[in-house]
Amino acid sequence: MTLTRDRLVAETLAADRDVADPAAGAGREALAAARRHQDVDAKVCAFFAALPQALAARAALRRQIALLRWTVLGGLVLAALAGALAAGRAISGGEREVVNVIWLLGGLLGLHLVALVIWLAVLVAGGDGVARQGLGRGVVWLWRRLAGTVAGDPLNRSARLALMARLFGPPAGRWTVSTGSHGLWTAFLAGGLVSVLLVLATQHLVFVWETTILSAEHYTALIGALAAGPAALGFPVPDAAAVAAAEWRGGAQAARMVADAQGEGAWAGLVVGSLIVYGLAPRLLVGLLTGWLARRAVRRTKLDLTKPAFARLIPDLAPVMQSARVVDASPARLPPAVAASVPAPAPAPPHTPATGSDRRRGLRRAKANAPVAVTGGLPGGHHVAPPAGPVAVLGWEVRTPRTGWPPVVTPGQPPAGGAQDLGIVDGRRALTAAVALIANAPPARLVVVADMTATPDRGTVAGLATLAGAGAGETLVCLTRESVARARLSDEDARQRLADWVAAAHDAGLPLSAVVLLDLDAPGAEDADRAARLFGV
Amino acid sequence: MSAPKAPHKAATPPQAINVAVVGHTNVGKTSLMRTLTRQRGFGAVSIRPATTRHVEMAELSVPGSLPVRLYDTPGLEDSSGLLAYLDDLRTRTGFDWIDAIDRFVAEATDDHHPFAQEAKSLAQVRRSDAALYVVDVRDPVRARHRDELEILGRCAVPVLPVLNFIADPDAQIDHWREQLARVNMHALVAFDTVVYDAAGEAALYDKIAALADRFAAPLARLRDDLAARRAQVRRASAVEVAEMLVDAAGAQAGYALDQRQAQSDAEADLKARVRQREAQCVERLLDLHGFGADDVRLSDFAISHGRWDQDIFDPQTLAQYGVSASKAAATGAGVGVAIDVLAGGMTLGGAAATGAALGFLYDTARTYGGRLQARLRREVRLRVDDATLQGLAARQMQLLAALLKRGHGAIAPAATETLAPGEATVRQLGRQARRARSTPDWSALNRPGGATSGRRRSELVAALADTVEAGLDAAGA
Ligand SMILES: Nc1nc2c(ncn2[C@@H]2O[C@H](COP(=O)(O)OP(=O)(O)O)[C@@H](O)[C@H]2O)c(=O)[nH]1
Ligand SMILES: [Mg+2]
Repeated sequence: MTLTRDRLVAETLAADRDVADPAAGAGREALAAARRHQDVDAKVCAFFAALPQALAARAALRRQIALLRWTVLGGLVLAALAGALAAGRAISGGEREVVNVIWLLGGLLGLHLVALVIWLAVLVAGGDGVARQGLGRGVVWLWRRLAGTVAGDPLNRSARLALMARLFGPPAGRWTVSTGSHGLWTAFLAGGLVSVLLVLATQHLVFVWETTILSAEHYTALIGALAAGPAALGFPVPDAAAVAAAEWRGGAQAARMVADAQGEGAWAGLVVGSLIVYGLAPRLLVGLLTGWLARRAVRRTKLDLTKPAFARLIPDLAPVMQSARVVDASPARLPPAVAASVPAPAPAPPHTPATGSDRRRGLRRAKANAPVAVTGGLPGGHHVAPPAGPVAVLGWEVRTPRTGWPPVVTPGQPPAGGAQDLGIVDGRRALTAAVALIANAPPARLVVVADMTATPDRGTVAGLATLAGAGAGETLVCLTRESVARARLSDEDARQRLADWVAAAHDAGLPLSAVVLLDLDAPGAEDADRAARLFGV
Repeated sequence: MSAPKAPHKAATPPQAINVAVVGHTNVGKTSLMRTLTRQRGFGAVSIRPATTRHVEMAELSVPGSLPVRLYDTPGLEDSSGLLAYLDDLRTRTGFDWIDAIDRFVAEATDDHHPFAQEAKSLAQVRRSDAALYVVDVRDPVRARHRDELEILGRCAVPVLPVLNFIADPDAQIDHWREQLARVNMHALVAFDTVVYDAAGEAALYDKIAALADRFAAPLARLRDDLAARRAQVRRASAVEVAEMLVDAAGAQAGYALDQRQAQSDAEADLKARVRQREAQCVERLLDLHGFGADDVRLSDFAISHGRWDQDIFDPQTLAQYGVSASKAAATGAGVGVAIDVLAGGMTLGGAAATGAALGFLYDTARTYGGRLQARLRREVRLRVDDATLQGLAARQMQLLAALLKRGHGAIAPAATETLAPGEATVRQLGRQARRARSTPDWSALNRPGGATSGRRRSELVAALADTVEAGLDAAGA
């Protein structure tokens, strides 16, 4: 029951988004309380139950439930009164001194039996129709009207809506509404029973049957069949002879004769027994059954977590990621990977040549004294001096430019101005081969064509350092594919990428001005000039 | 150095399934973690190298089963250098591969070791039950990738390549498949961390399960749990859109017929309420999907600070969605607004023939106070017109479809075409929402305390939500 109450509290409070804010102070405490539970449904319940507003919600729910109870009670009393009146009229209504037992039983039980059959038919035919029909609906309607006038503040309203949905909406609704109907009918029949007993206790009635076209056998058989039920429960019932004797043919004398033939209480036993066996008992039993089903459904129905008000809490209450922690910490002393930063001003720092095999390994030196800071374009700007002698060109993990390899910059000119082609280097073996070539015949300038879309990392630094130390007079890094990089990166990221390349070149022992931007895929007009100077055309 | 440490093969039952996320630097390892954990704030992501320098574990709870632990690792930056180093170590010591790797991992804990960063990653791989090897498929397969695969292949842990950046126009998926097949890696997943794909995520866990089959059951549970969560969020989002449409369709504003200047006030009031409701819907959708209003830049939807940049009552906005604005001039009302009932001259009894109208008048009276109450008999009602309703539906559908396709690793506006909802869906939503018009009680915009919530309203909301979901299905979201 407490779980059901908690669910109702959750459904009541969920209506107000500000109340159920997991980011607010109280919400955070409630979140901690909810985390202890396993099941998501239980978590959500615990969350709402731990909110300070839960108390008020419970009170509002209690009020609404009390109102519902009173409404049901009122309905039952009214039904009992109506039953008593109807039965009283049926049993003592006529002008005649005798009572037609068939009419009497029909009047007492007919409507109830028809309603019961309809209820069953709707139940069998298709589920939820049951929740929309019958007397139970009337009670719900009445309660809603009453609650609507009583409930002023939003919390009461939410409580009423929550109760409505849980009790009378799917899936419990069909059973609660059915239970209401059966309850009302039970009260109706009980009222009828009381009034029948009262009349039987205080009046002398003569029970008869009559017919114009049917034979007596029909009636003996019919009444015999009807009596079977009550007789089985020990009610006195008229035997076949008594039934045959109770045929009514009219006249005062006949009444006398029939009355004489009636056994003591046998006919009263038949009437009362039928009322119980065909009326009260089945309604009560079905009512208890649906009541049990309703209770079960109400208790078992979990919160509808697809409701936005609940769904939004799930990432907080039951996150996909339960926890996170660092299991192997960052190195404490290693300097930042690339010490370039975008927003810093750009004084060209003095270039300190790096020495030692550390660099070959790609280990970064501490740059406390010589921070590489790049803003905007490249430190070298657009100025590329013509080479002092032969040029060699090498590709570093680049795709073949659209214009071909070695790079063709100016149509009609030889590729890269007749520079020595060292090919595109990818991997250690190719690098070693290229270094051997350079060492054999050191060019005055080595142009390393690299890809701006690539992230320069320690592997890149190690490679550049190896090339820089191979023996060429000077080593320049020509960054290509700028247009692609710019399409992929934001302006700020593109600037950062350039800075990272400059820093990588710097780490490899190259001067800051060694990085030249030249898009070989899409060379612009002024690029031809720069390319001519770079490759020494 | 004879027995390599392998904690997961110990006699004690495993406490979790450990999956290391490894790869070259800047291929989206941390982004993958973000998307898989649904945490926008996990770790640090940038275009620079070595952004992640530690190993960070994220535990995904699996209901009623072993948790799955994912480990974000620093990038393997210099794999060629490392491979040479390991080769050297092996020739020096005569170790076999696995011993050499374990020796390297044990030795390279010193921060000054040239391969300290790689050692962290490899140590984590050795401690894990499987490794996800993330690659950027915009790059061709290079020597460094082969070196990385060579080293990872020697770690005695199943490796599953994850092809990232597959939504990029430069993606070379087939090239990668073929090259990976050459080194005998036939199982792989294509999973973009920015453009989220639920089926891809499910395939990822299924393939890990295939490689580490003793964990197949908990991994299948995780997969199902994620699918259930997604279905839940999807439904809740659809309901959210449906609620907004019901509110907007039922929204009304009234003014007294003899107060001409009151018309523009009423119109402005109606529009303001509808706009605010739409913004609220945007905010709630973002919230449901775990995105904030301000830290997600949805510039491709022209949303800033949780609001659409373009006003819904601007006819050009509607034209964008293929909805033509109504001929507003003819009705005498402003664009996006229709005159519902002209009650002038009609008695109150006539106007209030339906309970709904009575409820509305009562509410209006309550909202606007005695001023209007005195003139109830000559009330004109304004409401949102059909075209605007359709525009509202189209916009929220578009946002929803985009949110469903957005990975939590995404930081920049998604580069993909946003999925526009089908015209039929939008028209049907408009048609269905119209049913809310005759019952102003159903609209939270007319009742400051919140809409009434009867069975018929719930049914309408459910029907609208069904249409939204069907529309998402059709749009492939
Ligand atoms: N467009 C796109 N960008 C991505 C994708 N995955 C990662 N990124 C971006 O790539 C960059 C590097 O990602 P990060 O996760 O830091 O890589 P890590 O170094 O491997 O952890 C970031 O700018 C990400 O936003 C993807 O699938 N598509
Ligand atoms: Mg990272």
